[in-house]
Amino acid sequence: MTAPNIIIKEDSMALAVEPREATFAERAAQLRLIDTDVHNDLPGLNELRPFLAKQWHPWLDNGGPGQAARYYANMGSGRMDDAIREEDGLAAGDPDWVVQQLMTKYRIDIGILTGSIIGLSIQHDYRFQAAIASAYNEWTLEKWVRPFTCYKGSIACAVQDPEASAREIRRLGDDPGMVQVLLASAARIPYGNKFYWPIYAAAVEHGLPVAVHVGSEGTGIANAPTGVGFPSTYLEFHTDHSQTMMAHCVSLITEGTFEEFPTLKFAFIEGGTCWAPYVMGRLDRLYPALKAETPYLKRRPSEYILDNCYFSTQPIEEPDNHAHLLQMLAIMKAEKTVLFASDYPHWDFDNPLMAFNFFPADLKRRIFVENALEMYGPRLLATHGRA
Amino acid sequence: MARYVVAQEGDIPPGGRKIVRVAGREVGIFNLEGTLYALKNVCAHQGARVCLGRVVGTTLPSEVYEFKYGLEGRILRCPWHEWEYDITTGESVFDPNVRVITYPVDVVDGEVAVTIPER
Repeated sequence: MTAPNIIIKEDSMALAVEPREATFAERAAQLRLIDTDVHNDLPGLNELRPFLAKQWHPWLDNGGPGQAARYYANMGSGRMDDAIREEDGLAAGDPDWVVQQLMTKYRIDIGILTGSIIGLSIQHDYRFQAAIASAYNEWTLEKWVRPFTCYKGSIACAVQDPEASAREIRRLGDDPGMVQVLLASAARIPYGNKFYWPIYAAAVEHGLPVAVHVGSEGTGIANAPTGVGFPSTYLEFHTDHSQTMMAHCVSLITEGTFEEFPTLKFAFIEGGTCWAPYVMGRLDRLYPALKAETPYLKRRPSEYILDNCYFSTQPIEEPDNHAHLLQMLAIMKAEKTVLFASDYPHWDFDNPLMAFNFFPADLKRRIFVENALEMYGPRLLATHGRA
Repeated sequence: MARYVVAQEGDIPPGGRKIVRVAGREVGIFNLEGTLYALKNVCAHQGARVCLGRVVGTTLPSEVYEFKYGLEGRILRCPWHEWEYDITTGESVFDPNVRVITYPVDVVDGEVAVTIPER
């Protein structure tokens, strides 16, 4: 295989005279930035028609099945207004536009697509949603991943039906264009619960990490966005995102999910980072006293966080004193556990060329490139174009 | 300090704006009811091109549960994180110490000029 990849520049003569494909380590060394949260827009459900079995088309013909939509919003557009393309009114409806507006401008080599329909997992009709998930995954591969070297996809699944989700993961689990399974943080039951284990069994079978992304809390069949009910403002809603992330994380640890699936890697996307040190400290403090309740836990709880869990940066906390953030990141060993995410094109985007200027260079390198390479493994750099 | 002519007066009608490249930086010139203001096109937060943002009004400081809308046409809202700045001063609405850099602007013989300090 001599197909050019994103690492070898087109003008590189090395490729012409030496057809050997660069090794993983060589290609990894060339990377500058991996973005673990790029939201490509689905212009409309009708786009999925070619990938959707006939029995579901009446839903599309009649204006869709009435998907429950998130009702918390800010007063602006919710997107980066300077990134909206005139032709379609979307900031990420076209993959070339995103290459230009995000990948090139901010020197990003690989973007992990997190899409725009993770809310399918809290819709009421799980059968239809499973079909939507499959169609959406095909659409992602066809329109975004395969024609480009710089994008990788996430396997969307109807989480409310774990068996169907596992089937979808097994169907696509060996496709080099897909690098993870994606869940919404909105849920009916915390994610450590055995109910979801078929999903994790399928994921580890194919060496796929599982990522949980904030969104859709309090919508459809999901529980309220916080432990105490429904906030009244977007400011409150957005700040409370870390609550659901914490609940899922603590559940995964205490239910023994990481004992059952020791190789399972779990990423918490867009929920912030600084709650993780708290969870580590609290669990480690209580664990010796309450161990009788969870005898299946073989290790200190914080070790599961350090070995099995990853946390994305955006929206990065911005304390007045930068040293405070670096201390929190030191507690959670960010050099092993934290991934860069931009959240493009959403309004709370983090600019990688500015937001991390005070980070030590070696830590920044870990967060920008190496931790993602470790979590996703070789498939992140695997060729995935059309055969 | 150096003075740069960047536009003709008619280029920027009241309510309008023009973004110019001058002395190695982008500057947004805004016309608020006949008075011109010049702001550097860099948000104080994460460097977005703030002058591309919407010109809006905002909710003014108020009592709890009270809403007072004002400053219509005088607030520049960053296209990314929606930080709001008073175009006439460059100050953010939430902390006067957080501000977009501003430059003196004048009109002589129909020519709009901004004055930029030496680097």
